Amino acid sequence: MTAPRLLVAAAVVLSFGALLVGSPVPGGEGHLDVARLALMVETGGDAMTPRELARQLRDRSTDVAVVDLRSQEAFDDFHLPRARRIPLEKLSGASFPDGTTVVVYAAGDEAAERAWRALQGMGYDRARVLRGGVGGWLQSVMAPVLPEDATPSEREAWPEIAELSRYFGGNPTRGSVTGLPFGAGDSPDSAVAAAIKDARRKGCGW
Amino acid sequence: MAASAPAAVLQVAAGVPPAPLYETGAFGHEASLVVALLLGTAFGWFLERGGLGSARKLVGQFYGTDFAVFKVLFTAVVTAMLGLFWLSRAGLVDPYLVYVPRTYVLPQLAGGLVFGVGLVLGGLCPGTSCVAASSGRLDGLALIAGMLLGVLAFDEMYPALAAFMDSTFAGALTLPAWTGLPVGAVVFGVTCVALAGFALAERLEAKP
Repeated sequence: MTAPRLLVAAAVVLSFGALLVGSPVPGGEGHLDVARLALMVETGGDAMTPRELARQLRDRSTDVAVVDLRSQEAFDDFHLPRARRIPLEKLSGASFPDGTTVVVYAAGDEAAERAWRALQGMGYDRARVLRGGVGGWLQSVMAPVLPEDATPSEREAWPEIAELSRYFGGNPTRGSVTGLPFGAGDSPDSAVAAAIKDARRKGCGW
Repeated sequence: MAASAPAAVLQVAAGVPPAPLYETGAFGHEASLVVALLLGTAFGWFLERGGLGSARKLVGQFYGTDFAVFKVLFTAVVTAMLGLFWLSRAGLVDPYLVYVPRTYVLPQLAGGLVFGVGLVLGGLCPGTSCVAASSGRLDGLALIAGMLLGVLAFDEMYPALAAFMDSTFAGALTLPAWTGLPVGAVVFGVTCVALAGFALAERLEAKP
């Protein structure tokens, strides 16, 4: 048999095999709809803002699980209320009750997005990425700022945001100074480290 | 990179597919650029070996005298498709982490038309123009210059085109999702179309 004929035969056998087994994953398909996931990412349905999470935690919502993907050291240093530490490589072995909204976070968004895809693959279609990670939580829940030139709608929303912040031991401030000791240009890691140090100094670590 | 090999072995043992390597974190952003360079070089080398560095060969496709383009590209499609399917089945790749480009129906139809006109006029596509230039063909160099000018023009015109570029969005569309058929059936169907196409191409080429 010549080489091209051999390759044709291989293609026929492999594609016929594919027809027989049907799915590229042993568990069968249908548990992950790529188009649906893409649409979720594009419409922001894959994420939860730190304030949305804070409200659910304050209201003692029982169908929310918070997962911290960072190292043990970082977790011991600081973590969100009710967070469980599960490293990314161990996520496939974790289980949550049906219908749970699993909110994952890390220092930045990248690791959390990987975990989100893994959770979607495991069937947790209500999994969410905590937008902005630990830094996002510190900035918008622990140290929210009402700017001097705030719009009327921002001023209207402020009392609830400030109260939410104080519930978690945060430090809401007004004016042009930012509530956190870091600027937008800092790397997420150094920014988070600085913010945690600051939170500690103010005596509100968990 | 050296530390990632045992980790990959552990992952397979634990039933977690180690690939796609970038998505699963086996290497980071900077290493991915090196990998892209290696893959791009290999892609160019195989295109050249497949004879696609010659504009005559590419244009022959449109005159129905030479089906090398069809055969090389469809072979690549079938090889990648069967490889991805069976590597996923073997637990080595997570197919759901493979990036699926977004579909924008009208902008992509318009882009395809512009691309096709350029391909027939110039005789080379972006990849093959680089291959042609690196093997010393002047038409390849001229096309690379044209391509860069085109990129610049597109960038300058982008604000005016932005609304059109974002229109008719259809998500990350795949054949199985679109047709509702099992992935295996689509794999079989595409392979049959390719093999029938190869047989037809051989006949057409054999005609005087």
